[in-house]
Amino acid sequence: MHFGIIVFPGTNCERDCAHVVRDLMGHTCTLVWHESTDLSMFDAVILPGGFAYGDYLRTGAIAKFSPVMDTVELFAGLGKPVIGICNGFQILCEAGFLPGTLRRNEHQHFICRNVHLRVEHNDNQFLHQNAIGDVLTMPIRHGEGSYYVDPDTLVDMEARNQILLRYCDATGNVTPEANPNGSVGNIAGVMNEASTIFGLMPHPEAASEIILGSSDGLYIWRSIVSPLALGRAVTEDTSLLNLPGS
Amino acid sequence: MAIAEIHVVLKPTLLDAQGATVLKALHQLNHTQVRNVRIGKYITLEVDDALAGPALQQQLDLMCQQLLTNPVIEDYEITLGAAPATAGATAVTPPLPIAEPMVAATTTTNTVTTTTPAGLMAASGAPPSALAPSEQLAAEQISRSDVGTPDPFAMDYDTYQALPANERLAVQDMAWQRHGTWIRQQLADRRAAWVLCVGGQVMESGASLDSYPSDAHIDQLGRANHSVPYVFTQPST
Repeated sequence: MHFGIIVFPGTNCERDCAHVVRDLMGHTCTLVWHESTDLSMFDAVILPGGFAYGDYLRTGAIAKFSPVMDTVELFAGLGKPVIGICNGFQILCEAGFLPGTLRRNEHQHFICRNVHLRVEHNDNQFLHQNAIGDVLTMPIRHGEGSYYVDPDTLVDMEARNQILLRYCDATGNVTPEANPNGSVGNIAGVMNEASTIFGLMPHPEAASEIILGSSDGLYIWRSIVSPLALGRAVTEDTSLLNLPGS
Repeated sequence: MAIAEIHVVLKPTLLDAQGATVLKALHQLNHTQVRNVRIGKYITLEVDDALAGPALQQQLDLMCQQLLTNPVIEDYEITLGAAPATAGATAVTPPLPIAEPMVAATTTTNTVTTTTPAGLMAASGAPPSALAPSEQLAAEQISRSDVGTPDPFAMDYDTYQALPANERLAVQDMAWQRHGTWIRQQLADRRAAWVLCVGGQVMESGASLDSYPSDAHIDQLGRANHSVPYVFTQPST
């Protein structure tokens, strides 16, 4: 699979993602500058972590207007997987591709440590290598990772299995103590209705080698590279991805 | 020119964790009468008069919805007003230079090249005379030490011009020793190769030495302001 890894000014996790895709998974990838509007050569797209535009105004507020974002929307519309990690998740929410938003951590601190995540739904492109209830360990590194969505939308999301990961303790219990940042419902990762876009605050690319403390991130990468037929045809028509003027 | 003032606030139903933290901190400072704190943002936009009235309001609403606020968690209020009367000025420079620790006036401690306008030096080729005793004393004091001496930035231009050449140089040195930090800041803020200061304010600056002001121009500013005009360039260190 050929991954496109989008780089905004201020993105800083793109090389970790490239390392995982290339050196650990044996696939290929290209770093894509945020002004590009051509994603036709890719099978999957990653929006990595970092501080796009310095988090000015709000995290992801300005990155959502980058030329590449329209193409990302089209890309996902074709049924191809898009994963947004940390700042990537924030950008996807600002762009409206995922519901809700990420707010400042409840206790106002930037948190950098491993957390436990409970797999809530696995009938999707991103977690089909896991069983429901699996506990994954990976690091969070963020100051604004508190997920918020209004109560009505939250109900809809839960009904449609869009909540994919929740913060939990080591044995998989979703408790307030296990919530590092005040996210509503301990939500750590969500998916769009069409099941093509996944956003999560923890960093799977930093948990893909035991030497870094956990290799649980590999479950997600393996899920992405083994496409799952979910009763939807993945169209081969990529002509829409080359927008004029790219 | 209109000024749009925009208050961005969290939707009332949302928990404001930052506000709660500030509330605790206020209570720790004994401001216990504060019951609640909510924190928002204040944004000002200066807008051309091309649009006005409802059309302008509409555009501002669009700006808020598209970029300036996150509609998921924030509300906003726009207030429109006229711009203040000052005619398109650039940033105001601080009139009072930063005070530096007093240092004895020895030329060896001076790390910068100051340029005294050659024309001004030539203009007062006359022998050092015609100085009132108090001015003479002041000039001597400047050349010895700057402790308790008058600020070179405040020196009267006529007084300066009446000084002998070496003493005028000493005044320049004094300005650098006394206000070096502020001068460097002015140069850095403007990314300038030179700044022209009169009375402790930057009047002009230039990005390269090609635009270095002429002696006549410097002199004119000095006479117009009755205060010594200084041109400072980037230190060679």
